[in-house]
Amino acid sequence: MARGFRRTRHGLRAKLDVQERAVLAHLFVEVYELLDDGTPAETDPLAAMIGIGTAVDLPDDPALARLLPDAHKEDHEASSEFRRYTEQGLRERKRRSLETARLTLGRDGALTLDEPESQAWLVALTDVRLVLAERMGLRTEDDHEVLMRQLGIPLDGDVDAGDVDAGDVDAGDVEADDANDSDVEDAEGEGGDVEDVDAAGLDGESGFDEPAGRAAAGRPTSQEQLDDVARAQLATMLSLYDFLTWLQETLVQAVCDD
Amino acid sequence: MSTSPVELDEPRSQERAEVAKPWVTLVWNDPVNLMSYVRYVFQSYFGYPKDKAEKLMLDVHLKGRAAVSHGTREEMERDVEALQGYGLWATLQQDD
Repeated sequence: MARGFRRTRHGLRAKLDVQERAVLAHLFVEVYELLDDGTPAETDPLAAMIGIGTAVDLPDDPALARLLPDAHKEDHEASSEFRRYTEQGLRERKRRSLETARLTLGRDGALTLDEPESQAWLVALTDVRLVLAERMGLRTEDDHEVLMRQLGIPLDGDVDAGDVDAGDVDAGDVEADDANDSDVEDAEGEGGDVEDVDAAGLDGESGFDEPAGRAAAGRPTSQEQLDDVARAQLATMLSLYDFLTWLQETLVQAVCDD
Repeated sequence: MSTSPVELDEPRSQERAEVAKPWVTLVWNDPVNLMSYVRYVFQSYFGYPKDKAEKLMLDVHLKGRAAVSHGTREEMERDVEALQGYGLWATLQQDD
């Protein structure tokens, strides 16, 4: 069972079991690869040094576009110019954060981070959550709740989550009610009761290559339209997203505690 | 010692206009970023005190966007790049 980040004498410490670490490592790698445009530095070493790239347009992949948005709302040319000069650097810095975070997961015992590693984790967790959210179609404040209803996951005020037969929820035994809100200001270290995140549910098919459970036309509007595989994928993603939200919240609180 | 007449260059009127029109960095609301994280970024990157960071964060959250810094275009480009690095949705535009 995970214990969220707390400030200790030795640094910012969390307890994550083997499965949780495996899932996090997998997600960090997936987003790293998404950010890797494979531009070989050898093609134009001078340009690579200065950081000028050839990208001029918003990435086609909407998740990547959210990580590397247009800098000018109205002026496409100015956005292109900005992108040419900054995108490479942004990709590299984001990749570095993901890699730093991933490497810390290999440590024995409790996960303890120093300040630079905490910074890397904050950026890495943000980027992973942004990608997951985009893949699930979470674009407005209501979408999270809408998705939970679609998946038949009880919300606060509904039937107590403990009454739900865990066997029905393919994502594993995550109690969504504590960790589902991005305004989890009152989450203490043990908030979110995250158990057994079902790493096996990923099976290499985390749905990162395409939006999960969505037909090309758009998100299904009723439960019946989601087939079993799509439901399982979305449920897994949602529970991962909620776990990461809770974890990031504990890290921000711990970083700000001095 | 001799002195030579010093010629002062009048700033070209276009340059003057560009200096006079400042730029602004905007941060836009999104449902993913934690309020606590956004507040932390404003404190950490800009060095804003906690209550200013809190106010700007709430403006982003409740009004959909907030102007978080002002200055020259170059300065705003730097800020936007940094904020995007943190995962915030930031843009720049001329102040009106």
